[in-house]
Amino acid sequence: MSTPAKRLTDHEIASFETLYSSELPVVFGFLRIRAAGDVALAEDLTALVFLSAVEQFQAGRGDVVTRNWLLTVAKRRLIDHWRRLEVAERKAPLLRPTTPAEDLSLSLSERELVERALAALTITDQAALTMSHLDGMSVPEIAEVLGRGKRATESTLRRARERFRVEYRRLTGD
Amino acid sequence: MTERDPIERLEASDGLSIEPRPEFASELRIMLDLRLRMTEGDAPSSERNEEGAKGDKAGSSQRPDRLQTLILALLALLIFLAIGLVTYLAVWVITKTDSPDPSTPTPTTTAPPPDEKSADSPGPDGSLSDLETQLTEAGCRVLGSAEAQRFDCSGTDLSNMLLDGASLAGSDFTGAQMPGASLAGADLTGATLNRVWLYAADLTDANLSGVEILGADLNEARLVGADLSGSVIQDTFLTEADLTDATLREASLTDVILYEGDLTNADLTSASLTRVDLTFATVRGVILRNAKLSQMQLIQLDFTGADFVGLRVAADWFLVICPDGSPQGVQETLPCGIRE
Repeated sequence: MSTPAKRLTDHEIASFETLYSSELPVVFGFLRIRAAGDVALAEDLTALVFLSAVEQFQAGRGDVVTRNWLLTVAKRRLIDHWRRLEVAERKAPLLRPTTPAEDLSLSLSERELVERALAALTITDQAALTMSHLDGMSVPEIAEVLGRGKRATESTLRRARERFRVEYRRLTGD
Repeated sequence: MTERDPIERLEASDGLSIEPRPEFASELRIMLDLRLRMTEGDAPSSERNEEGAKGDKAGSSQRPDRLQTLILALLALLIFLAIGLVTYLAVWVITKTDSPDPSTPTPTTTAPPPDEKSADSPGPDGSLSDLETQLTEAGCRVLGSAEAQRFDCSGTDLSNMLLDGASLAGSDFTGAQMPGASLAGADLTGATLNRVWLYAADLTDANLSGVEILGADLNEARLVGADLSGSVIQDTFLTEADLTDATLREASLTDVILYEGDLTNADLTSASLTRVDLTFATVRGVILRNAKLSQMQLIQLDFTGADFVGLRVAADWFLVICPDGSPQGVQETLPCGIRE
């Protein structure tokens, strides 16, 4: 199934290393916020993205690997992960630990607060919210990913926004 | 701080580059570097043989080591076979001496452990067959008459079970856990496989015609030569599944993830595919005659040798290779002479 590995030139290896150095923080940052701050998950998915990039280089298609390409692959891997989790969550709803209602706004960075608030939502809510507000995807596009109707997706989004607001305000002690 | 809508804060948190842990970055770099420098000489044995035929210089420098390894392996195999033969003869002589009736040969092979029994038919005296025993012990219920036996295995744990060639037509495996199960050549005609976990299961040449598979996990399953004609597959993971030479005639696939799946020479004549993720899939020689593809993104797929006759599509195509081996034209939204 995998493309036979071809011997890469020094120039190709150098190109990949430059790409890796410059894009690793971008891909990791992209995945970390969408993984609701789950560092281990973001690392796993980042590794998969760069492995796909290596395959492209070995297949002689290194030129297609741009930042957009990496982020597109990252998004697909994440959607795959969400779908898997969503199926598991449907079978056995996860009990999500709730954080105590204390003001963490001073001890945590803005990004960490956002990640914690996201982590308190269900996988479907996380997926819907990040696709809508981070990736700018339309309701029909999100509906397609979630495998739901447009109306159901709209109501999921509305509910996710409200839960996110409540959770964020809880964390900041409002 | 709280005057802003939290949703705005969420939006503002995107696009940030975040340095990962240095240990992760360096470990990943090492792993990628190894993969990147992996050449045909480091590839699996089949590719190595090709390399040998090419007479590659780098390959020939490693040949003495490989020859030594090969000779050692052959020697080890010969010793193993010799020990086996001696043991066999010794056991045969002993059992022949002890046997009260020399005309009755004593079997020298050990009966397989219960977990490794393969399926067979019911005994003539009406006793439970091996298949029945195996499945009922795992919690399945026997349905139907002896002639048309079916099983209700919903919710059971059949992990790694050997069910090669088993007759399981019409059986219900809803919610069953079957990772690593071996069902090569099994008859699963009309079976229900909803929410079944068949991760890395072997379904080579299995008959799955008319099955219903909803919300199931068949990631990394081996479905080489399997017959899935007329099946309905929905909300199902087939990531890295091997469907080489499989038959999916008139099958309906909706919301199926075939990421890195292998559909080489698979027959999808008159099949209907909706929102099937074929990212990095292998589709050489796939037969899509009179098939219908809807709401799909076909990106960088190599359809060399595929059959597109009568194919109807509502999909985004980008950088695909057409059946004749030519690349999709830059301006073509529908390549390879396909009409909407």
